[in-house]
Amino acid sequence: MIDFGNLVYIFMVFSCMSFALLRESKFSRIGETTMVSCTIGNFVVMSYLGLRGIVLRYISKGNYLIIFPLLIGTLVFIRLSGSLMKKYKAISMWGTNLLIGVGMGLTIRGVIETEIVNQLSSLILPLYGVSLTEAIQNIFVVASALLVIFYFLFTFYLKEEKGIIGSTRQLGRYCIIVVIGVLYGRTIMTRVSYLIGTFGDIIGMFK
Amino acid sequence: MSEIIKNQKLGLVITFVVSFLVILEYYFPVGILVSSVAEVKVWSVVIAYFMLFIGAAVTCINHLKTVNRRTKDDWPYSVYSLLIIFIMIVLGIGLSPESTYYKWIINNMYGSSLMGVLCLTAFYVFASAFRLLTIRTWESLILVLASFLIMMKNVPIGEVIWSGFPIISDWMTNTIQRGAYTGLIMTIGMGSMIMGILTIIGRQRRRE
Amino acid sequence: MSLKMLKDQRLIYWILMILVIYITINPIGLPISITPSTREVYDIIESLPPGSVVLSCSDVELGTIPELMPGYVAMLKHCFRRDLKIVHYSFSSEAAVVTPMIFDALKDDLKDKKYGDDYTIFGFIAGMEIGVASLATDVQATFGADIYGTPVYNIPLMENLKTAADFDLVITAVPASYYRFLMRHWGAAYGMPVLVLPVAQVVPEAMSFVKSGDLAGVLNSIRGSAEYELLLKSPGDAIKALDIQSVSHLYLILLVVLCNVGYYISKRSEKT
Repeated sequence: MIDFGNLVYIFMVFSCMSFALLRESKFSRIGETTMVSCTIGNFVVMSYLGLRGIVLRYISKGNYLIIFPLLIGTLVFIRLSGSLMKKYKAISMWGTNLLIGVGMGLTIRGVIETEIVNQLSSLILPLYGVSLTEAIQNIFVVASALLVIFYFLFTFYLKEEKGIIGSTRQLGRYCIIVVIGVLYGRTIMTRVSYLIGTFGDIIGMFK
Repeated sequence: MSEIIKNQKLGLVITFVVSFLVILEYYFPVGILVSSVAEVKVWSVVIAYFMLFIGAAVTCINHLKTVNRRTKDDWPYSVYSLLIIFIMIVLGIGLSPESTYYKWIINNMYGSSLMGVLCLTAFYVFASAFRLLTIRTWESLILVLASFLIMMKNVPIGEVIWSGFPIISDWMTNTIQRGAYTGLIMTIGMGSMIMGILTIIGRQRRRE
Repeated sequence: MSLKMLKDQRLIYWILMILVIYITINPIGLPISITPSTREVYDIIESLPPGSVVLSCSDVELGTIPELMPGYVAMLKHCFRRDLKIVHYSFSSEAAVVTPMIFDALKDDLKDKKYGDDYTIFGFIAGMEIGVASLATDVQATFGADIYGTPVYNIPLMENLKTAADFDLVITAVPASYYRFLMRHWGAAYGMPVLVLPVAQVVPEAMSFVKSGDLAGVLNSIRGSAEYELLLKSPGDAIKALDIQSVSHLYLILLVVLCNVGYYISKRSEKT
């Protein structure tokens, strides 16, 4: 049975989709505006509840160090005032600086092992002691990896594509194009899933 | 003292010290270092929540300015936006996100409009196929073949049409795509590491 | 109706929409084969002894529900059938809506399970990578309280869970490359096996990490989810979705063929 909520659901879906199916209009703007404002409202609610959970946990354990990040976080609001920003810009950035510091530290320590060392070790593949098909496959894997790295490493040093370096970069480009083609083919799947979910829900309302 | 506090270089010092401690803790997990870095990580989560608040605050201020100026065609939508944000905050914080009214808004207004906008991306991807997948050069031929093979592998109809599609597609996935992706991940990893180091030592120009 | 309508791009969108609606109402029922990657994920969960603790980290957003939820629910169903303990949280801000949907789909499997002893649900943790890293080093401080407001130290299941080392497996569903945070701070740092259900675009990248040993297994998006449902003998939305995927992919290929034929015909007529 269709209730008021379902009608609002159908209205909002077609309001947004009318942007492509028909044209941009006041009808389509209602849907877009709803989406953006609901996202912001939801973010604020979730953030407040998460923050409250952590603060209450610290206070219940008698640990009042939580005051420091609360103060630093509040300083970020200096950005809302132009006059305060002129005098205290650096202080308003402390929160950002702390976040960047932690984020960059975590990225650097994580990237080295997972994205460089382990990926490099996964390229050390056997040519002897395996079947001919596997050996040829392994050659292809290593060759395409090296060609892609070569392509990116030599991007800044070459102005024209000529000679051995130019041809090698061209092969590297072909390998990257295979990846882009695969990504595009997979993107279709994700995008169609949105349609499946939306129309599945709407049709389900009528059953 | 106030000059030191207002100096932008103090921010760079904070970034450097914190990131250095975080990296050091990974390689030397000594008692006090582990506990202080764990504390700093929780602090970062708290500050991240404040970043979300400031984003919401800036959006609301922009909408209020639009309403104040009565910008033609825009101000009714700004009133609508502010109303929705206000209602959601009152219901979510005043009652609870588990409350019937909050869930009603999320399911029937937020979920539906979000899915509607995402469905637009589905339509545009199909339209973009016209421009992207036209075979004009060798490169576009490789692009079309790669996307075609992966599409036939991912859906059951590919196997029904010809049983060879999954075999060729698996070969492409396990050789060229695997190697190329490994190369891409390594290059991006090296780039992120260099970017991180430049940011930490203050050599990366930030747009403030 | 005039022939000019055929040149309108909106015709493509309308035909696609009609196709999706038609196949949703009249599914075809195409056969689905099981791929080795899905079998690997299944075997990893199957091999865990009952009582093992699993961190279930969902980043399923409202937009990615159709693609990720069926497979994620199937993995959780498998965990519950194997009597594994589940600690669930989310780093998506839409957790308040999506988490109840996930556990609502599992209500039959939860009938003989006790909240607090067999499973527990926490809400949204902000900070993305920072939140995940903080969780790995101090689970109790980062969680704070569950979605019902119960402090973490009052939950029996959480009593002995202090760091990532106290867990046995991590499963996650992600709409982008966010699985890297778990991979770096739980997988690489603590040697925890991490199973990922990503959206289709992220699968090739995630597969590279399986080959390098950083990830234990990857489910191939909606296709992998459908295969997992078949392995569990619990058919659901993923299997139905694959029929629509097949038809829309064929439609796209037809569009591309028509486009290329049109391009070459116009190129030839330009030459003559």
